[in-house]
Amino acid sequence: MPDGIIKAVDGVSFDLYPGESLGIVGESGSGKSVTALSLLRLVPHPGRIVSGEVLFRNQDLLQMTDQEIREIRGRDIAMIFQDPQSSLNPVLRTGFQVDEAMRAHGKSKADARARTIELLTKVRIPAAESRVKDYPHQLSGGMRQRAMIAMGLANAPSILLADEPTTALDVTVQAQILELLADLNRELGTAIVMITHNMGVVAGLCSRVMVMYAGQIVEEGPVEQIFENPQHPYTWSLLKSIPRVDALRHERLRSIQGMAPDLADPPAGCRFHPRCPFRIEECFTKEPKLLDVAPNQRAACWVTMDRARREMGADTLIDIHPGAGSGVRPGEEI
Amino acid sequence: MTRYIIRRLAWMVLVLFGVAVVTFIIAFLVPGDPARLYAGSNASPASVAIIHHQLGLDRPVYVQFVDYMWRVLHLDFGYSYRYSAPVLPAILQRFPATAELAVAGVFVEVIVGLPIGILAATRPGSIWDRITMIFTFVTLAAPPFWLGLIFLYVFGAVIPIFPLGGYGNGAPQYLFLPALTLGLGGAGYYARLLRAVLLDILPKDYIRTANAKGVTPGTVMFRHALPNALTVLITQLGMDLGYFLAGVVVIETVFAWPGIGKQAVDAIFNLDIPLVMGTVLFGALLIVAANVAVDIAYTFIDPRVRY
Repeated sequence: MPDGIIKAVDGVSFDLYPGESLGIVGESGSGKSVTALSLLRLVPHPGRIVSGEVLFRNQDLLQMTDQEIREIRGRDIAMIFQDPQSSLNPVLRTGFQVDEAMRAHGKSKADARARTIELLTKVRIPAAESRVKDYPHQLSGGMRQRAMIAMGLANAPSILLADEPTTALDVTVQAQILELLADLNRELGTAIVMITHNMGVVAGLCSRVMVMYAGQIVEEGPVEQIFENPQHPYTWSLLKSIPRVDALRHERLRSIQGMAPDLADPPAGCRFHPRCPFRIEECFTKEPKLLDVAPNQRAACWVTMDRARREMGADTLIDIHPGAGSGVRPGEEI
Repeated sequence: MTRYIIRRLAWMVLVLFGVAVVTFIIAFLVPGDPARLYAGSNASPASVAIIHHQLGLDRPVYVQFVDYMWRVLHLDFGYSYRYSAPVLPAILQRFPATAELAVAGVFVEVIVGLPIGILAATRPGSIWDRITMIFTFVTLAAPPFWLGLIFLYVFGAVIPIFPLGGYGNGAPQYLFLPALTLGLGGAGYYARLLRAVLLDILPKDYIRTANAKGVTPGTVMFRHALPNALTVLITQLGMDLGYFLAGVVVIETVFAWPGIGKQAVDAIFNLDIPLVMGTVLFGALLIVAANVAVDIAYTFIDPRVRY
């Protein structure tokens, strides 16, 4: 395997407001998880944060000492993860693991245990008092994830980073967990950053969304706006590829042709251009910056869907493949 | 769980039976007539023949075998040719010394090996990692008899801190060097083992969760990582203890440590077959028992394992 530096996250910058629910959407390898992990300096070795700052309450988390960042973790900013089966320690009792979130920040054993039972009940785990003694493998997938949420909310953090918390669960359980998160966001005012590859999850829970591709933000804005009028071809393609219940039977499932790029050697210009139906010559050489395309909405694209609709008949395209709208195929000189 | 224990005990019996058969066969195939030894080097062929008959050595093989097995079942391991005394009590009398050495050896393995393993795993690729790996190579490669002799020479003769072997009525300074020799080789092994297991565990998701909660690195290591490494370590430790208890022949010989290992070596040279067979059976029993104990210990360490 050739050596190289993989820029998992390249030039990502965003704001998060108190009590907000922000969705970060992207495919595997888009850099969404790494972005979240970076906030708490949890990027696993040999990865590291090369430059940037994470401002929380006027302090740069990246400049803090190890001790200081440990105080922030789990208390002011908490993170929960994708697979509760592997994210919980199999040889420790569930109650202990939830207690620990509080004991690590100074609570006494007794206080923590009392609060754990409260929290487990709050996240709708029945018979919480006996459940605390159970090991993770003795709980169902949904219960494990609820326990993780309890763990995350234990110290009433300002921000909860949720890295694909529902991906490993059944659909019905997914819905329950999302509902739970929405309720908690409303009741406790905890800002939630929901990382997912599922647009449906974003639609159900988030007020704002950030779409990532190949380590960069390609579009961001309020959820309703983005869903109704996506400006970046990637976002548009993602939304188009969601299977619809009301689609006609013979209609084929749509996907985005091609594969996510190798981050050790990303494409020149716009990283999406090899797969983009609406690319123009700029896209091959010049990297687009995030620009306002609508009130509160920004996209990094030389074309944008408005133009693609006007000039390339985007809405009437049947065969969507790279260059389908603009007619620019690889290797073609303009 | 009870059913599991019963099954394991049955297995133990089977294994011990197998060991008994094999030791019997080997003992039978060893050249030389034990009756000679029993009789003494100056005895006449006639006396040897009488003793040969007395010892029952002229009976058919299968008769000797059945007689042997029957007696073993009654914990009668026969009479030592050399000492004219029952074998099992002779072994049991020397066993405490071996047990002491075995436990001390395991202790050294753990005390030296584990911290090194943890150090290497938490700083992969660093200078510490390299140093510890070199250390483990050396201790693993060094033959115990060589290591023991070097220690005796350096710390017993050149700088006379420790006594030159022997038991010394249980005074600790006599135990130190043999335990160190026994444990160092194993320590190297444990360091590598723990390093490998930890390198497998540390990237795991539940470690990430613990870190995300703001848990200190020390607690992450000792409360989250090591308990998961325990199953692997305990297996190995249990087997080691069993193996050591069965008589660490080389160490006992180098340090003139009065345990069952040395006794067995002497017995072999003396063609004292009953004593040899007795020690082998005794050792097998210990190893097998250690095996079963380790398996049962699993259920307490890893809550996912239940029989």
